[in-house]
Amino acid sequence: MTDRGRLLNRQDLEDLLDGAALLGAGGGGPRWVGAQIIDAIEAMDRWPRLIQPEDLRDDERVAGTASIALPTAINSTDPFPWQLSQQAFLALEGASGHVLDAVLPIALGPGNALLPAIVAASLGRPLVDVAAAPRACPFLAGYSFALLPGPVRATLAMPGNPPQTLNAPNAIALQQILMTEVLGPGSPGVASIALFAMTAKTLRSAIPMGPGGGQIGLAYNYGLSRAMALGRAVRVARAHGRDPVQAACVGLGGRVVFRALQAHDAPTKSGSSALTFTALDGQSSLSVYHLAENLMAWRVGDLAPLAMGPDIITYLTADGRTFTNDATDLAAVAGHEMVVITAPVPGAWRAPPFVFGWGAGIAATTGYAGAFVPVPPRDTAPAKPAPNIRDELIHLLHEASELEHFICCQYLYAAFSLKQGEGEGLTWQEAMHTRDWAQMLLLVARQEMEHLGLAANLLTAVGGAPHFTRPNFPQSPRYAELPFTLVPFSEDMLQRFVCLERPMDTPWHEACGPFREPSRPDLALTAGLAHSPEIRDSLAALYDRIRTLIMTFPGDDAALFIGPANAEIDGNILHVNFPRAGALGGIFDVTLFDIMDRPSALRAIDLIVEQGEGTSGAEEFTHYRWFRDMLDQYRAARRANPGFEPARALVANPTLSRHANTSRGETLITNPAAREVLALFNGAYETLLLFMYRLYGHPELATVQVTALAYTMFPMMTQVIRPLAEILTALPAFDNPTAHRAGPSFEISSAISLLPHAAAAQQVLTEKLAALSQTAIALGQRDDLPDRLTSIGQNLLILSTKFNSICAGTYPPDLLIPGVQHYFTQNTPG
Amino acid sequence: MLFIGFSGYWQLRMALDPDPNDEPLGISGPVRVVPGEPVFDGLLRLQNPVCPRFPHDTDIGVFVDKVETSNAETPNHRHVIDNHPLLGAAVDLIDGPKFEERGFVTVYQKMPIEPFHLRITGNDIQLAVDDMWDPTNPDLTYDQVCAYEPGLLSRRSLNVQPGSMIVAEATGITDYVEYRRERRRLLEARRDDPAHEGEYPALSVRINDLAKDELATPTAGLVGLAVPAQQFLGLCGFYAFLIQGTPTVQDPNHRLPGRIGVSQQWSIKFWMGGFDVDTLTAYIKGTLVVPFAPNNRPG
Repeated sequence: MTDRGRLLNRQDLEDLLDGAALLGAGGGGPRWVGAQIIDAIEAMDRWPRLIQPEDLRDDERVAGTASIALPTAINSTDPFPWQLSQQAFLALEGASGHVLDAVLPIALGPGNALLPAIVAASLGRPLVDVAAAPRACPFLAGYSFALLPGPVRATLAMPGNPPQTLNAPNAIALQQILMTEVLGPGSPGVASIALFAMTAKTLRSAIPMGPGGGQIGLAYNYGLSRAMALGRAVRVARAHGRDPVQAACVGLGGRVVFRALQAHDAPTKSGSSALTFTALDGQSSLSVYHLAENLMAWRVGDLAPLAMGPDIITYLTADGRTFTNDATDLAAVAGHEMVVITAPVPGAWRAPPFVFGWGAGIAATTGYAGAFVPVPPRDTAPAKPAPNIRDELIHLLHEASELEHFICCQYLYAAFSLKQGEGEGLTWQEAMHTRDWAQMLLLVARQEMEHLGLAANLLTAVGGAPHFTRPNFPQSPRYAELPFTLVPFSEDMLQRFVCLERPMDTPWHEACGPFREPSRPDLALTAGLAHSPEIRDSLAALYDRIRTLIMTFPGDDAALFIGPANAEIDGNILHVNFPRAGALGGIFDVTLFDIMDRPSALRAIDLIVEQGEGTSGAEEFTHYRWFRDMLDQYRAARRANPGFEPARALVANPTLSRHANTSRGETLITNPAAREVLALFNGAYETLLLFMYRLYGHPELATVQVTALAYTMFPMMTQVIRPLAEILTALPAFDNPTAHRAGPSFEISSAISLLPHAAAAQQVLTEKLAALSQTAIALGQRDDLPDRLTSIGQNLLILSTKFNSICAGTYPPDLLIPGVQHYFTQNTPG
Repeated sequence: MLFIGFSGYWQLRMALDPDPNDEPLGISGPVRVVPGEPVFDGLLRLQNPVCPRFPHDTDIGVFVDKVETSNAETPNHRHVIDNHPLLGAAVDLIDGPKFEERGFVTVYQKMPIEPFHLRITGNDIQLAVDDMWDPTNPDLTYDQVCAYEPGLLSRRSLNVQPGSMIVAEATGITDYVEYRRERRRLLEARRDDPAHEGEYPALSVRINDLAKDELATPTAGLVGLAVPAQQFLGLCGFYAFLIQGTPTVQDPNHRLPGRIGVSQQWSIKFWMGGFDVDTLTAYIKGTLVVPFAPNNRPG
């Protein structure tokens, strides 16, 4: 089994089904076939992994598979024989004499996008996120891989017969063979083929952009991801009461050309069939000619077609159900309002070879021999031009950065509040729980820091600036009606965390218990906002919107990702890319990487979402699941000992001073010693943010400066900020004697922003560390404060001088080289 | 020259990343204090372990296991001395040695040892030497070195290898994942044995931590806990430096068949590795090289 690529789950596949149905243009296999395949994948409990072509080695081999079937040969009440595709794929592997390392989709469509997915899942091989065309196509020669030089070898698997190998000089000749073998008289009418076996290097040459790409430049890169994004957009629109048709049009770049209540399919004299839609008022009709896939749309009475291939003619119901021209699919939507959409394919697919090819096919099967009628772009101006999408993207990534930052601090506060060990009055079993909970909360907090880092990289990539500030605590409900508040560990707090991290489709009552469900925003009042109001329902919805914006940005990767390539921070710089078998990175559960194109951007969003809300296939490894488990354990521990109090008596929302940008509920710390330590904590925390701004926010940094910043940031967190926070939880909060304890307030002043000038920044940061050191050492001398402050101060002094020395180039270079060498290097002590 | 080889298991009761190095109980890293044990102190114990954990409860201790000689005429030819009086002598670091990396405050992945006061004691013989960062400035503290003279940080690992073959051969741990699974089975059997009833809480906590390995895949789950827990078993740090201090040799009964030089710098090379986060033990193997003049040589 492969561990490479992103594990897809049922929701992903259902989104793929709907997106591919729209891109399938009426064909690509019936929708019910795709739905059956998803059920079959679930029954196997082996889910496919989606891999990007650049993650394949040059010499790894891929091949595609698809199904060919006469409508009369398959029945929705019978299991669809998806195993034929597996047989064909393995037969091609045997015929080619090479292991096929990954499975490639050829056609997009509800059946033919899911078939490679189940082949990939069943064989434990990755599924490649490239399609041969941006739509389904009835002509084999219409797929980009047909343009690769050389003869075409395919294997054909039909029921009851061993697979056979077919060799043809080109795709047109192969199609002729297939028509005879599969669809000819006496044939079974259903078969699967595997074809287009090639190396990953050749595959990449067929992709318009990306490493080694451009020779052919017509394969539909991220084809499955795009289909999933389209399906997801329709689903989310439905879930939030928005117009799914509008969502489909935005995703396709298309427009509604017809609305109907009835559709009737019938063969034509020319060899094709025509699905004729009757308008809502019964006064007009539109015929969509098809050979499985839609070829041409013609409004009855018009003198010319409305649209024709290779442009996309597709449909869905007004309430967002996708379907094909298959009879079973049509029966499933009978009685629903149906909407026909036309959309232009990307420009390269309108190049003469394709238009001529489609024209010949259309002429032969419909009789129309006129000129190509291109579908106009969606309206005269898109609903959101590129600059507006970029604006919204930057706005939402700012929002995401603040949220990750807020959430991280809340998890840290909860972790620091937990009692530890039997010395604090816990039984050993309770102490085991509190240690486990603190461990998990700190792990989750690190992953929130990772998310913050990825959001910063995303911001840089799309032309924005990293964002590491936020308003101070507490904040009134901002997302999902949940306040952001620093409170000690409790059942209520855990329930809030569960609610915050809940998957987008999890019902409110299931995840959020007693919290009040947010009311639906008033759409009239939210009109004109930079972003959709429903993203405030959950974190997952926010990232879903970001994903959609990235996928639907009207331009190629170079147009969207305009940030300098060297300005982002990856795991190598932060030394978390510890190599091990099967993976790189993840030390301290932190994985950071550069974002330079859609695949890496989607990978970042996938990682954030999978770690947070998760997916059904990997739910056990998510924050949501961990918090739910924690809640169950807490309740069980309380049942066993009703007097169990896991948290120290920390005040809620401690603060050194009152801030204008908070809601009510902060607690002013008045104990003088605690105030001094809290001021030190806030100074260290703000200094850390300055380091982060400097590291993430300035592209012209020399390597030595990047090293200096990275080597200082990590120990600031573990050796300064965490110990100071722990000290605070043991100090009294108030002047007057109470049981209440202080805690870290994570306060940010308005003076925190990017220090843009290298020399000045070096001096400011060095001075800040030195000043913090002096304060800590001085506090450590006092009888009323712990000695630990002295060692924190000494550590800060070392950090200060080391940072300055590295920046100045005077630090011994061999001390800067990470000690851990490559995994497979073996030295002897000599 | 006298090549004094040593090896054995040693104990390290110290919180690991991402805990701060002075974390007393162990929270976010893969090690923790279990019921019945004192808080962590961070000391490297080559002898006299504190609350050693089963199954390394009886085998902790570093001892001289090989003594070889060479001479000026044939410096590259070593001759093994089978009955050397130092064989079996206890090797120890005294005065509170710690790995003073401090969560990468001082250096990154170099594991400097501070202090390094070496003692080899056995058969009425003691070899002793205390390393200094700068012999011309014996009062220079470790913090001062890190802050102002990092070039003097000689007493640090030169290279750290994960998945070390050397460690695997020395410890017999050839499969990290299965080793920890087997440990879990071993502890579960002991926990369920009434003869060890008193160990129930400590064993339960250790089993609880070992079980977390099963909640990680190569790319997901508790990777940050399980992977280090497993990979520490193969991690190896190599050290080699001249000990900058004044050695002393005590041999009141003249058991040594000659004289060990004390006006010269002794050199040492060793590796430390195979840290087992469950038992808080690791292995060390190395050689102390001292100048040696046999009794039949004038001097």
